[in-house]
Amino acid sequence: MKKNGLLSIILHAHLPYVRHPEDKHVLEEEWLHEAITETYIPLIKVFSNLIKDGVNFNLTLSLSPTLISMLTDDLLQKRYLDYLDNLIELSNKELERTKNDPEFHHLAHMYQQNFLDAKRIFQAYDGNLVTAFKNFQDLGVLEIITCSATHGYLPLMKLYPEAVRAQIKLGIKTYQQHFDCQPAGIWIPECGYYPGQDQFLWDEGLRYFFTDSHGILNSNPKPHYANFAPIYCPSGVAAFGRDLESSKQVWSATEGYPGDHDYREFYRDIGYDLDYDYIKPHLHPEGFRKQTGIKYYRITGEGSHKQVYKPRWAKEKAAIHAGNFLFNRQVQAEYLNQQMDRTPIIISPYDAELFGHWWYEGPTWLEFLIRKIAYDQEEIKLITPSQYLDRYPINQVATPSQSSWGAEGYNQVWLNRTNDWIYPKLHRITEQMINLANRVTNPEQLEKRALNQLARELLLAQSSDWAFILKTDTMTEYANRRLNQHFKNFEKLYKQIQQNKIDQNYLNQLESKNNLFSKLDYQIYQSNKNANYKEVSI
Amino acid sequence: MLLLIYSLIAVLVSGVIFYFLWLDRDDPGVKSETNQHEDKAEPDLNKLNYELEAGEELTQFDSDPEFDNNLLVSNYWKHGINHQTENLISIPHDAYINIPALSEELLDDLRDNVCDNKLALLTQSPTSIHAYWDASCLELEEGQPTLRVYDLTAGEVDNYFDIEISPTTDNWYIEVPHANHEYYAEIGLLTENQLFITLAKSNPVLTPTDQPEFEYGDLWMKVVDQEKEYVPYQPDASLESEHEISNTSSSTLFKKN
Repeated sequence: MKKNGLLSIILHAHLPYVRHPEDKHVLEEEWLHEAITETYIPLIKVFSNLIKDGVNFNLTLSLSPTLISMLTDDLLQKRYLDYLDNLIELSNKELERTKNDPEFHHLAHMYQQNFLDAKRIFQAYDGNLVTAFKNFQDLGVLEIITCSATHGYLPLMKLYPEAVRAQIKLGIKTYQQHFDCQPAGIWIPECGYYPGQDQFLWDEGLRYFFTDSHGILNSNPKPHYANFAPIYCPSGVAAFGRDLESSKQVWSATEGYPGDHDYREFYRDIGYDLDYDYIKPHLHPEGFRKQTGIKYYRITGEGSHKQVYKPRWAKEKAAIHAGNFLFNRQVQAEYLNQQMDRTPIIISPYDAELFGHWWYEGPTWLEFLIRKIAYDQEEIKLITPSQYLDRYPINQVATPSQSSWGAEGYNQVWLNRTNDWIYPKLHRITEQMINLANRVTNPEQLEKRALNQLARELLLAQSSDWAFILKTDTMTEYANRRLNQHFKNFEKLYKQIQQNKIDQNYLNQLESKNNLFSKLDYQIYQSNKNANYKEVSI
Repeated sequence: MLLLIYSLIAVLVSGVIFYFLWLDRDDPGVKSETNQHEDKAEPDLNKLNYELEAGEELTQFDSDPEFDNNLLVSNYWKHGINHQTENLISIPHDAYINIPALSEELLDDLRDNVCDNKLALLTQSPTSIHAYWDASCLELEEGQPTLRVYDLTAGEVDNYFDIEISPTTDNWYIEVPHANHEYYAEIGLLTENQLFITLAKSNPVLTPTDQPEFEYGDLWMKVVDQEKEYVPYQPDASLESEHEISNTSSSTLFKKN
């Protein structure tokens, strides 16, 4: 028997919707800018290189609807270019400053090149990177899947099926608008699954989703192939379970590759290191220090002493780690082949932003891995979940267990003492939204706009990111502000709708600020049982 | 508050009397070991306030306000009364209850307030459930504010435990004994006489399972083009589901900060 295995690498790209037309210098908008420069563009480069060299590969990429909305937003695209121009200017200055120090000068040059490349690629796609990913999908090397509309954490939304359904419907709708087809699968935020949730996915025509390992291993009944084959939920949707071993190798801060001493140190940035007067023009206008993305040191070791980053060493390490990863998959597949009567599939999902942003060498590692898989061996093949299901349409029926991929495995990250205050408010406005959708069936133009905006405010408040940030205790001020802002917007608008006194200026303001999902129809919040129910097309 | 309790009790008691008048009283000694409230606490997501409706109905049929308050409420008192009243007050199986008279004023007050009460449960982990509530009348002095948590998986017989809460808190992390059990809760006042007056009822929640099942499944399905059919299939594999929670996702990464 031939010893082989299938490997499915899934990159989940997501950022919460952060867009502040009222203030050019909101620091949190840089989450997007940094991710574009350090992750999305490097990934586009990797895919382009592979295609150029005729390397065959199959990856799965989930693009969250909030990320798609930001990547296609004119204002944010323009701001990204401004941000990038500032960095290019800084890298020019750095070339000058480091000219007598070859090690640093070499790095300054590398950053300048990165930024110039980023600008070139960004402009080549007319500022819309979604089209770049679409091209890769159309070429057949990427399978792009969707995600719930604003990355709402579904297990804590379970009380309101209408809200769960709206998140999923809208995620699919956004996908269709940008990719001209139906998504095959969905990344459910944080792998947060509860029994019954799969029915919503099936109803919307989705074929598959992912859970963490224990979601499949603890499914009911017990799965014969553990998490090395998907199971079908009773609804008919396939659930693929994350492979622990391959996850750990990449994710783990201690044992994982990204912690290697030769890799670039994320926490040493010239925004903090350099002389204040020199760096000030590239900091926030209020003058506080921040990350610039230019980082000159390698992880080096445990202590605070850091040595200069050596790109060549890091690249060699990335190649070694790609080889190691592949070797471990081969061993894993060989072992599994002794126990299974079909080819095992190893599911390796990662946050896309890990690659490049957190783990600077991540995209290089991925490129090495793909090339090695294509040229150096026969045992492991890349596959997407759709391709797997086409090949193995018969799978065991079982219900995955309630689970997530967050710390401790269940809802603890998104529900604890730091963030539990969110849910009573969230649930109240969810109820109000559903009630309005059931009641108001033929609104006037203005009322309809208000109702649609009301739904947007609810959706934005539902992002799992806010609860996550509160839990991790970084940038909590922003998360609190955003939550309270959306709650306030909702309440104010709700009152205006109730009293039939819609303030048009206020509505205009909200519409231009929180402008995502332009084709949203509030009626997706109708209850099925509602007597007024009618199918809406959004 | 006291008045409400008493009026409700009066109602129940009148039900019991009613019942006793119609039934043979040949086996009053039947008792069982544990909490015997047969209130199955059927979880009802409907926002209608049963308590209120039941209360109103029964007050109407309680025509004698001057009724004897000292009564033995027996084990099977509840057989004689409207099922809905069970949801209203849980009476211990063999309590002697002293019931003074009742004021309509307070009762009205409660009715106005209690109908907007809310209690919600959210699963946190296999052993922990988060409850939050918005309940008026918890601050009344007639009873100890209490969360009563029912284990719906444990069986037909009521299986619950109580958590004393402060009238000023509005949420609680409930430690529960069993993973993969369905729980349901009520918030209310527990009187000195161990009467439980429900002020709000929750949704049911299922705690996640934290271990693999014992039995492999034998149901297989074929799905092609959104068409599903069950098919016979015999896998030649039975992998053991050894696992741990990996804790390797973005949350671990960010913690480094």
